[in-house]
Amino acid sequence: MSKLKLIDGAPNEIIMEREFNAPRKLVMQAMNTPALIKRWLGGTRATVVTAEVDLRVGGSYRYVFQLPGGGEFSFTGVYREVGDDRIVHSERFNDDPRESIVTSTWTEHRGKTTLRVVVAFDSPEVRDMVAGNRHGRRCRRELRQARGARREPLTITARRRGNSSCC
Amino acid sequence: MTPARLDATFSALADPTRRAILARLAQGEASVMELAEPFAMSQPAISKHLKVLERAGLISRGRDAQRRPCRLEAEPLRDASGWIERYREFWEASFDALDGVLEDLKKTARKSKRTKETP
Repeated sequence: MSKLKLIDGAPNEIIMEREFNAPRKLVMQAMNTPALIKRWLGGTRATVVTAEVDLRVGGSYRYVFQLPGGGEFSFTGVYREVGDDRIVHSERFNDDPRESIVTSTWTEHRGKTTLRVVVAFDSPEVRDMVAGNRHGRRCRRELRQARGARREPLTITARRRGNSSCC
Repeated sequence: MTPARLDATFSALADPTRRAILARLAQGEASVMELAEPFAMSQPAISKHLKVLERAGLISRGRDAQRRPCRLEAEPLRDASGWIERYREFWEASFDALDGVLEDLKKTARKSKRTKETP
């Protein structure tokens, strides 16, 4: 079973939750210190070749990854809030002009720490597309509105194939 | 999927009319006239939206010169919704590795504590 939980949030959000068997300070240290980040970020999927962290409000970070096949990708952003148990930063994938806002909170209980990461996309549309969740409902509602009240409600069977989104 | 193509998909989907068009096409192919009918929009206006959708690869147009029926193309939508799955997998693999690093850090912390306690 996956230890990483995905939680349904606001229309433009993706929420992840994960518990670690370590105190909050240790988890935050491991997640925000370049030398330690290099040891775990990307796991078996990618290697961190560059980790720069300027952990203060207005400071920026940059993670550059190398894929086993040789390709590279990066996450960059600026810290907006840096607290004892909460960090808020922007996140940009490669050179995509769209930013998401990532809010991480660490809650300790009996020596274990629960990390909650809220990724807010710049529009509900992007999130819906990414998550493929409520898109179907929204499309159907909008189609009904577009058709107005002059007809009987339209029923659409979203043809889902695999994990494809609606429509 | 390249970020540029993902971007084209997202831009195409940012408009409610275009999403409604896709919802209609999920039922089966339709001509511009049939697509324009439920909207309070002219056919040229609908055609503009169709061009955006076509450029993003979300729809394709039939060859029939008269009707040129529009058809939904599922591939870009599937790619985009696959993105969240890859994002989740990326973090899952990362956090699994973080478990190991935390165990190391705890051991080191215990060791240094013991060293300090020893006179």
